[in-house]
Amino acid sequence: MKLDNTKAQMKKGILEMCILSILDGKEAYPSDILTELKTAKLLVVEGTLYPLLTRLKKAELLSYRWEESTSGPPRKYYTLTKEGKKALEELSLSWDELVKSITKIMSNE
Amino acid sequence: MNKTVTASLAGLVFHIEEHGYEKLLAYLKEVRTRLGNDEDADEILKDIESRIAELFIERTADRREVVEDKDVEEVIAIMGAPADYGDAIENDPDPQQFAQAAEGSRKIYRDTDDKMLGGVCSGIANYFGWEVTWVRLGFLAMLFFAGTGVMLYIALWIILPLASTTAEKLEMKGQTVNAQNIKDHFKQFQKEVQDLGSSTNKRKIKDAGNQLFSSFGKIVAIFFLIMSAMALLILGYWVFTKDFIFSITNTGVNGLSMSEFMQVMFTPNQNLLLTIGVICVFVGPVISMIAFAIKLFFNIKQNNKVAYIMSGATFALGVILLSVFTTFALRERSASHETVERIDIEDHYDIVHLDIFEDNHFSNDFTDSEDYFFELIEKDGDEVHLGWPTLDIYSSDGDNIELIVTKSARGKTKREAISNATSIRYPVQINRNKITVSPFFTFDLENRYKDQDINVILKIPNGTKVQLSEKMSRVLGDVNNDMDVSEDKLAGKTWIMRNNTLHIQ
Repeated sequence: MKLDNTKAQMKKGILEMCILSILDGKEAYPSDILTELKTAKLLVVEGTLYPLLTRLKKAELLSYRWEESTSGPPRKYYTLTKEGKKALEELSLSWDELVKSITKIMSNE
Repeated sequence: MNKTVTASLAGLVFHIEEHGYEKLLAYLKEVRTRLGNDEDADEILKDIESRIAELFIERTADRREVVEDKDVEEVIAIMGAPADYGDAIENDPDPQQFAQAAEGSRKIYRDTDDKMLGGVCSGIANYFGWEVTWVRLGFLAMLFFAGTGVMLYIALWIILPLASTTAEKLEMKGQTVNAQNIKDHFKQFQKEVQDLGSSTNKRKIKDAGNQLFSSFGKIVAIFFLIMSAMALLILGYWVFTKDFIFSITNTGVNGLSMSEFMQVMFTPNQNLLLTIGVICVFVGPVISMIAFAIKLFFNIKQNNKVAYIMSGATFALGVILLSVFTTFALRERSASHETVERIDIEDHYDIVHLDIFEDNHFSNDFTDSEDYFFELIEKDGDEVHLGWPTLDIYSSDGDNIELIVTKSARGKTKREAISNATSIRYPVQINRNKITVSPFFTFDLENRYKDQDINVILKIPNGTKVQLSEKMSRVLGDVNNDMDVSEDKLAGKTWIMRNNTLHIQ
């Protein structure tokens, strides 16, 4: 039984919601987002983040602006769009429901 | 001591140990492959390169100049296995496409690392595995074929994407397009043709339709596009250079080319507008077709918006120029005028002989005026000859024989219309009772064609006979006659006038 794989799948599903949540009310560039996700152990490798960001941006949940950096290449600073905020609210609601029902299932055991 | 390679990542320069550099290249290439068909692959890859650059900077912040092997390994570990990238995208890449990419099939890019102008030649050389010098010589040689080389070069410059990320540069130099590839491609093509035959496979083909076109569709589409583009250009060329109005003259069949016809119709400035307008209207769609064909041929994913915008703009410019031209050309013809010349024949004659001059410009053998309306136009130096004057015969009010010549023309102003009408040359000869008129009229080329026309009316008293020569059919109008015959049957006979009607004699 590949437990690692199951764990990875669990995390992957909620990654998008977490990205939206990190960007709720503040601007951040990928490195900031990575730090938070890595601290929360939601993300192990960094590469995965970029396709996700691009996908969310394409779905118009995120937008970004360029900012020059003194210490490296220019950075993309991401923010939530109006749709992004709506999506986050919706995801949070279903997350709460999910947690409730899962807790119920697990304790009923 | 280790050898280092200087490489640029996200616009920053790094010195990387050779071994590490190779690892990094291989890594980026694999990531590119994993991202597969994703249309945002380029953007994602740029983000990733940018992040790798940041991580390198962090690692070399402490005094060090060189990115070492272990730095590269660490950074790759942080970024994660290429396999993770693929999983992060919603749709797994098309397995077929993926297999192709995994083999490292080449993609075409402009190579700005080895460029003279836009890197088109070196890009093509990379794609086919040719020597760049020969490609350049090829383009130079094409210059001598009406500058097609320039057109093609500019088209490719616009359409071919630039190899900007490291992975793209790798793709550019990937597996050569060789005989084996072409064979594989052809096999797939054959298979698809077979599949088309069996209806059970229809669904499969529909699935394969995820790709823009199948190999089969692609070959058909490229063929169609190239043929249409060529047809449009050849048509345009043909219209401008070849004869398209034919006049049968006494020296045989003469042609009037589009450009000669335009000289007769419009001023040099208007012709310039018209020519550029027509060229734009033709070339606009051709640009789109060529762009699309190149896109299909080289399997380019990116949409070349610039090419389509240029194509649309060229077409729009053509339409605008043509509208301006039409406005000018119509305005020059807004006023009209008729001048009337009356010639009285004082003496009384029982019979009038009507004939036309020898036709020294057009043929003497025309019979029916309806058949050659537009063909009877000829440009002779600074003069234009038009061969469609008409002659009608009516009863005169008094006892005199009278010839009325009406010259009509249009112009920008009334004044110009009058000048255009009166300057028409139309010789008439009256020798006692023999009247001879010309089978054509003439005006100066600089007046341009402005509806110039000649209408002759012969009025003879009731009871006067008129003898029409055989060749009069050329100019006779719809004359009332008791036989109710048309002009070619009127000619060659003698008639007598009674109550506005000719009676056979």
